[in-house]
Amino acid sequence: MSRIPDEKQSIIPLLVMVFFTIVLVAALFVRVYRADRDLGLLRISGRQAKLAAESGINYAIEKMRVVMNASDRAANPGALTAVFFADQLETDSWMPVGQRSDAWFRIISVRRLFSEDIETTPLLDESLQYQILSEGRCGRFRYTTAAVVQLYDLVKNFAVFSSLDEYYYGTPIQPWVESAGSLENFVQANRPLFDSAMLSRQGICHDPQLLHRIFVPGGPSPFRLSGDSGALAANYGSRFSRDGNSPCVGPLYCESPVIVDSHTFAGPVQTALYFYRRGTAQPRIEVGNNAVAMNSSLRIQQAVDSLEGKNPPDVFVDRDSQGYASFIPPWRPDFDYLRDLSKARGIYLDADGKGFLNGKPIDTDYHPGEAHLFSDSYRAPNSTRWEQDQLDEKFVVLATDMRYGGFNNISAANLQGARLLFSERSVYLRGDIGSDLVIVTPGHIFITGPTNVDSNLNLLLIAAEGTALSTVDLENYVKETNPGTDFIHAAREWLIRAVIYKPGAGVYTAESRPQQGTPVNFRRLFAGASLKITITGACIGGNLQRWLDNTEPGSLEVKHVPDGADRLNVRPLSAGVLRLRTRPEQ
Amino acid sequence: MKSYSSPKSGLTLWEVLLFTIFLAVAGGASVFFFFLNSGDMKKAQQKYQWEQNINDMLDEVSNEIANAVHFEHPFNGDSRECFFRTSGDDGALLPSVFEEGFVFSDNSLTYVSRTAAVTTGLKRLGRFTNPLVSGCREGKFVRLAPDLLEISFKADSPNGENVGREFSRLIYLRNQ
Repeated sequence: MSRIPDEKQSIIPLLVMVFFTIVLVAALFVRVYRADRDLGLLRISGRQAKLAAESGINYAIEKMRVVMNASDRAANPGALTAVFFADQLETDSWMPVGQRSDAWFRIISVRRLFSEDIETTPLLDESLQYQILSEGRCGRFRYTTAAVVQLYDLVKNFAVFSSLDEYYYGTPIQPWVESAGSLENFVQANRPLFDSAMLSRQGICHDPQLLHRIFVPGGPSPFRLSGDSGALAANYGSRFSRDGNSPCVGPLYCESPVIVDSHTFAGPVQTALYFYRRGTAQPRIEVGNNAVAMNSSLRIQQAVDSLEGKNPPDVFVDRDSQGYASFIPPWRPDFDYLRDLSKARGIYLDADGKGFLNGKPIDTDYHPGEAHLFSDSYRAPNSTRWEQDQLDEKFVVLATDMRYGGFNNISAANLQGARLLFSERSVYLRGDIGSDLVIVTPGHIFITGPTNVDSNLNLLLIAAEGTALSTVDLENYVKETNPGTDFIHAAREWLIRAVIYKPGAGVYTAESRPQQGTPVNFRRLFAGASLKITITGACIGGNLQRWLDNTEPGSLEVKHVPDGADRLNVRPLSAGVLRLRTRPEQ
Repeated sequence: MKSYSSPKSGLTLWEVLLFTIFLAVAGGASVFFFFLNSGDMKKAQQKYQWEQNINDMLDEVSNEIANAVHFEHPFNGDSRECFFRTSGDDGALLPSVFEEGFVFSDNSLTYVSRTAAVTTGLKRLGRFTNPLVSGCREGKFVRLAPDLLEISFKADSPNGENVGREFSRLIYLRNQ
């Protein structure tokens, strides 16, 4: 039997001791090295739990928007009970925040805050407030967020919702982008402004000093541009002016800043960003002396006032965000839901222009046709040239028109009780309607003349690609019959009694008018006279600037009708967070 | 027959080396345990506890300010006090005459409430009682942006060991 030598027997325990000593020292080093990291991770976990709880509220808001748009309860906000939302939102299970996160959230409570609508807050309906509780967790941390969510009945609250954004802010970087040849070139030449977030690529300015340099009348060019042309020696404020009366006769909401001179607003005003009163201008609100803006509005005004060497006068009421949230999310209709609803309970016009009432074919003629259309010329905020749209449109015509022998395919008899009409084709529209009606199309709606003038029936126009004006019929009539001045002056005044989603999607005609050097404009088209548009109802989204540019100056008006969508089975509602409170769970 | 080598005499080099290492470890461990019991270590622990307490308090203050529904003061620039309106447990906005706030005065930070008539110290902020911090100097609230507030101050520890330790927090005002 072999025997281990004595000196080797003494080595083994020594080696074991050496090994464990090394392990112990290494473990101590690792522990010390990781201690700070672990403490840091603990703080990160706490923050992630907090963010998870708050993201639960964002999830709830988006889900509320979806279920409202896909439910006929939206027709009556009173029917949007807490139980209705709770069924869709409350869960016992946790939902992960993102795909690679250790944080989770869940909605634990939805309830309605019962309070009366307060008259002194005309832009807010306190009876449409909900409290939502959301829990977030990450590691051993748990937070609870309590949010007050406000529903906005857009037609009831606003005459114009985001349709006059460009009108009140303009396109302050467009001339420089055009001169630079592209937005990228302009951004490169003014990189510090964009890197410091003083200016966005849409031209929204967030810095008081830059704002002053852009909009002060008669100032030099605030932007750098290689090869500056003479036309750009002056700033945008030299050509921008907003005095006179607002086209909006009622409450106004803008998602962009509101820049005004001695301007008169007919009703209360709200902007998601800020007001800037230029120079010594004295803007005024005729009714409902309320101006709601982001908290920085007054701050920007004061900073600019100090640049201009003036004290802020107490003319323009700016209540900041007290009790309000300045931003209201836009409304987006659910076209799939509306299509299905029209097939079940309404009139559905398929891609061939054939009609179905409650799913059954009907023989009403909707005059299907096709046309190649030419638009006015326009410049978007970042355009590098004048733009003109040409459309190949398949359409139907909903009208009372002498051309069809006085036949009205949307009379009460032809609607047969339907209150929703969905057309896969674009829609030409003019004349009387026979019932409260929602007209929906994934294409355009072209208004060709006075619409829904002689009744108080509710009409809501929802076109995914926007509602435009079409002068085809009036131009042809003027050419064919050569009527007198009195007729033209009567025919060019279009009264539209409707709530319009995405208005201002241009002006169109069937006559080829390519822009060759000069932009195409629809003013002075009818024996030297221009269109005059009055909308009685409300406008939601879109951009009215192109209608303002192509109608008689100062003629376009939007007169508010708060109950303009009360009897319809679709009502534009938006949901936003009013206030938020996050606390650790005890 | 296999023969064994003769036993060596004296210490080899690696035995001396190992002995030295163990002696060093044992010596180091003794010094370490003495150090743990030393006054310096206790002072360091007290300092850490003091800092931890202030940091926890600052977290609580930051959370309270971040939840403010309407932040009244400072509107811009810096101030030795801040005031804001909170909401009730049901989310309703409390009356505008009632505001809460934090004030740096008499070398301490205090949690206060303010009405049109009077400013009084609230007794508790979570597990902290007034004054929230004693022995603090150069305390201020700075409104860096409409939705961003910085609170900062220098504090001296009660035993006088630490003078002028700086504390600060950036607070995102989530409702502004």
